[in-house]
Amino acid sequence: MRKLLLATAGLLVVSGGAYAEGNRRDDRRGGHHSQRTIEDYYAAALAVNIGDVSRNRAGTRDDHGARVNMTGGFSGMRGVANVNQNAGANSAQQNAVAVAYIEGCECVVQETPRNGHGHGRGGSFGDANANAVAANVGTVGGNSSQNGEEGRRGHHDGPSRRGGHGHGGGGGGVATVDMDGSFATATGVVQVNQNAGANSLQQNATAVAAVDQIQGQRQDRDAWAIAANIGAVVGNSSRDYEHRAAATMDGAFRGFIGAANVNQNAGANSAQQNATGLAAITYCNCAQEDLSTTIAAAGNFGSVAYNHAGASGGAARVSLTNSFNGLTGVAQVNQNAGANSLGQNAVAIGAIYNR
Amino acid sequence: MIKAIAAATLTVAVFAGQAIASEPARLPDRFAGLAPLGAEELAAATGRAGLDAEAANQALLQGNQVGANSVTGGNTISGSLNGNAGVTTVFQNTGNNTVFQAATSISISVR
Repeated sequence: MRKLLLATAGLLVVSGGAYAEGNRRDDRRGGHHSQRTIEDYYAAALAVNIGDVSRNRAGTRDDHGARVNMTGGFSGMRGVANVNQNAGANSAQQNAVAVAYIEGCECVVQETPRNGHGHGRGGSFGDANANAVAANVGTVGGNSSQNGEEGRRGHHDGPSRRGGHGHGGGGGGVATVDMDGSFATATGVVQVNQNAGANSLQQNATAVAAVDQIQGQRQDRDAWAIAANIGAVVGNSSRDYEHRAAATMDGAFRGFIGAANVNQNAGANSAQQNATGLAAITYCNCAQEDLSTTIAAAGNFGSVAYNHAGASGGAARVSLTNSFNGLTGVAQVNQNAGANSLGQNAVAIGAIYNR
Repeated sequence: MIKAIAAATLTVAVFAGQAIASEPARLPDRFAGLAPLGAEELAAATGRAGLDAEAANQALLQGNQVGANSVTGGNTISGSLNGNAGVTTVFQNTGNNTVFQAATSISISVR
């Protein structure tokens, strides 16, 4: 029996906190006998994952089956969901969500009394800042994975071994990831990673920042959201003999509303990253002075380098069936079933609209 | 040497001085016929906004190897992604040394 060693090294997760603070104060200045009403809101959210998977080895026999399946899950959910499923090899899966949201009171301009001499600097001020940052930083390096055994059912085709052609079909190991009928009519932020083999790194990040209504004669609001992934898959090795890998999605995310980042992987070295960043401000046209600023940034920085993947016989298959129909919002989907690969998505949206 | 530098600096300063000095002379022509906005008109100009949306991907795929007989397989999308509203990005891959990237940046201002 081949020795099976699965190890995960150095996974550091820092989950950021979020806080919101609102202040209201009257600023009476004796020199000018003026009165100001100030409302100041600040909400910040930070979510960060830092992970490292290095120098691990994984080996399976040729009758090994690694299956990840989600059927009918999370239907009708509302809110935030991060889901990671893994069934093999070295892997690192990370999610990060950060939401900062400010909803002030009714958009009304409050008149404040001026001083008795008519020279005051009275007035009402509204200031709101919502900031959200979500980031993943990860590396998968120097790992090795072998599925099946050379010489039993096929021949390895890697450059360092003897050549030959696999026989295809028939026995061998299986690695599958399936998502069937899940997240139907769900609303909110959903991030899903499914993995069934080889070295892999899958990361998601979403940051949402929103400011909805504040009050004052002068209104100043800003919302910025930054989402980023930095990932590296370097120096890994994958050898498959008569191995069948498949990533399938059937009937998933039907009628979904919101932002979804989905990664499915079934083999080889791979790195898949998503990042979304949304920033939204609503304002009413009631202030005498009004300033709104949104900044949305999304970025992925990835490298897949100096990996080796060898597959003899078997198959690698991905399919997307009856999924993501009637969706509203942002959806980013990566499906991968083999070889070295790197897939990245990024969306940044900034919106300012009059209520 | 020092004299040369001083002379060059002086020359630059003179040109800068000319540019600044000549600016007021052009202003009347540029804004001729325009009337300043009144206080009420300025007060109505609310909702001024700054928008910035940026999306970027940067990738490196280098020095990877696959075996000479490395398998790929079926890649299908069926009955999916219909009737959507919004932004959708889908990547599917079944093998070999691939990079696929997408970046979308949207700024919306509705008044």
